[in-house]
Amino acid sequence: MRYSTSELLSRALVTVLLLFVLEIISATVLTNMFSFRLRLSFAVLFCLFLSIYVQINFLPFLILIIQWVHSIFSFEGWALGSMIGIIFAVGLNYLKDIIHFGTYISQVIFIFISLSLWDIVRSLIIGIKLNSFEFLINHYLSDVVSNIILALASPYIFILLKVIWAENSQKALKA
Amino acid sequence: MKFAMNDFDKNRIVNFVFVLIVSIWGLALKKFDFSDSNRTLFQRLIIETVAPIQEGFTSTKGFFQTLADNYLYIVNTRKENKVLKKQIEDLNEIIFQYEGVKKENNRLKELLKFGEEIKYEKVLAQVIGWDSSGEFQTLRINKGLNDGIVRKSAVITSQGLVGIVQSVSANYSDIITILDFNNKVDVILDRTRAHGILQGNANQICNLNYVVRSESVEIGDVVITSGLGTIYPKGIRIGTVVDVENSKYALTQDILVKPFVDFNKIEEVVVLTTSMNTGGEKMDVDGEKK
Repeated sequence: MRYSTSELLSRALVTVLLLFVLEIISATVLTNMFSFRLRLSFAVLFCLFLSIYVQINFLPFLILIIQWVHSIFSFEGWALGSMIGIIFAVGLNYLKDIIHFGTYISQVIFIFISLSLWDIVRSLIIGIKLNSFEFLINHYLSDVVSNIILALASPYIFILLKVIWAENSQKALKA
Repeated sequence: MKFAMNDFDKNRIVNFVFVLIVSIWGLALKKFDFSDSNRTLFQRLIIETVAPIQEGFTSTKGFFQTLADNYLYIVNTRKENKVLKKQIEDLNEIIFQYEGVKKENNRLKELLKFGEEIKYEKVLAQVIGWDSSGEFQTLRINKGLNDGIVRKSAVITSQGLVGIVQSVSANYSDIITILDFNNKVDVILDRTRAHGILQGNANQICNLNYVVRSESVEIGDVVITSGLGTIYPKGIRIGTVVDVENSKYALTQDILVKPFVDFNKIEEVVVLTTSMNTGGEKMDVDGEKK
């Protein structure tokens, strides 16, 4: 994929604005309407999308920006998510040739597994950092529901993101 | 699939390595507790911009719930008399609003009455959102530095302890609740005065650690703050013991505590701060005089 600087900046800006809206929905609307435990990690979903579909040199910085926006709404900060995002991006770079979301279900399952893996890695790093792993299982179980909901919603969010990151067809032909 | 270096663009590798190093550096500095440094000036500016939107969503909560309820009712009922129904809906809406105001009034009265004996200034605040990451049990309130709130201020409701202020911007603050595993509170059991450390475990229950085996602990025992550490005032109710495991060979007991505060229904909180005792002088986020 190739984008000019202005294209890249405008797409990044729209992505960030969309993330702002979704983070507000996650942090405020869902927690108020349903349960404070229902919080969806849209930033993780965005990082997964970018790692799978937007293979550009600027990708690490996009992940950094996404995680920085997430840090506005979370005590987690930007560093942890950026680090895991980079690890996932490298991994998905190798897997991209064998990832084909033929059906809705296949995409949902893949995203659910990725979100769960992300959670496990994140919890492990926090555990190492705090020298305590007691909370890991409790936390993981409470996050399963959120991950299922997010995975079910992921195909629709990916459609939105694909529209934002759609490559100019004429440029693609020239390339 | 080739695992060869030429799959990557050189620049991309440099970017990946650069961001990875920056992230590891950032992570090394991160402490994940209330001693963590406050947010940067730019982040605080963004929070000041975004939080009013969150506040707006919170204030329309009742509206959306009424909307959803009305829709569910309407789906399976026939329209009998439009005029009459309209009148009933209007009246119901007025009653709903009235009851909402009445309930809020009662809650606020209760909150303000609560803890009269506590020698702290009390700042009433509304909860506007939770941490967007499920990993952390922190919430955001609509009061900040301008209202006299500083970092490490205790946060309570009439039911009991909520947590501690972790970061502050001009008009908003973030609180680490007692459900968060990064929040550790020095507590005592009200009945036996046995000491322990309360820590969140990511569920709606907290662990009570370091209570020695010889201490008597029973289900239903009330846990209160000990007052040690100068952050939490002594005697604030936290929760009740719901499970005790006293192993023969362990030095301490495994105790679970259910907080009195219902975090699913938390709407308003009181922040205890000593900042207003400084004679109206301006302070920084850590409560130091400017």
